[in-house]
Amino acid sequence: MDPVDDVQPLLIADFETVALEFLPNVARYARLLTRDKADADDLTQETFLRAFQKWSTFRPGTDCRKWLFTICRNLYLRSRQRSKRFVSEDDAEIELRAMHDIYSQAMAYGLKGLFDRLDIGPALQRGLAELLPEYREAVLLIDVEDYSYEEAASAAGVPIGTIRSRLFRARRRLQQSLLEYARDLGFSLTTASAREEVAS
Amino acid sequence: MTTHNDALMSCEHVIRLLWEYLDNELDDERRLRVRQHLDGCEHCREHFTFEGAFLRALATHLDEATDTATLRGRIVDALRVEGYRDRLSATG
Repeated sequence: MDPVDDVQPLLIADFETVALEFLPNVARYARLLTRDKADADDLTQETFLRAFQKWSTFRPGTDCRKWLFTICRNLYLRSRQRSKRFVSEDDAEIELRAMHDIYSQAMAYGLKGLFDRLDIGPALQRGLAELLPEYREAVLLIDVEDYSYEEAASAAGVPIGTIRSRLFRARRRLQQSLLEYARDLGFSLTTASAREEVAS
Repeated sequence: MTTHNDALMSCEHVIRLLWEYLDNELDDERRLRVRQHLDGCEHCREHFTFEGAFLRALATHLDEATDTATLRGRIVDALRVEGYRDRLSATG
């Protein structure tokens, strides 16, 4: 049967304006999941094809972006050879303490305005590439797409405590990458001290 | 870390709530208590400012515009095969 046969014409007409509107969001989500442009494009295309085939099941008035993310994520998980290694969900408390340590280091290195003073794009991309997809997903949903913890947990199919742990861990690792990047650029305790002396 | 004012949350407690505060995940009462602490604690205020700048930088860099024009054309072509042609020919 032609997939379009069981889809009402009016719903088909909506697909372009309602669903394709979220192409940039889905493309970005796919990119963060796969970390490969070609794979991300394929995943994005497959997502919209699947969405089109299931368009009659989409309930108007509900969040189409979330619906598309769910399809995208399910396709990704299905196609991905799941890693067999054990991935522990870090204690959010540990991550909070680690976050505070990083902040203290940044202050010690005179990096108070780190995020405003440096082009941190390359370091962020490098840090993201090193994260597990589950952690990248938490960052994307909450830090870019503005999902609440509850919404992100629902989208990822995990308890809210898990999404919180993943988010905190991902942020901590990204900050660690930024700190290392700053050090590579020549920031050091010595230069920070020298700057303070000059300032005083 | 110290408690700057016995009537307020301790610095340790406030730092524990840092991400949830910045993510707007706290209820009104806890949000207010954190706010009150920050009003009187420069150390924590600077820490929150630092982490807030990090979140803004993160969102900005990850939200960079993606050129999806080519991808959109590719998807539309694939949708045509799926029976999308009537809608597309009607809209050009």
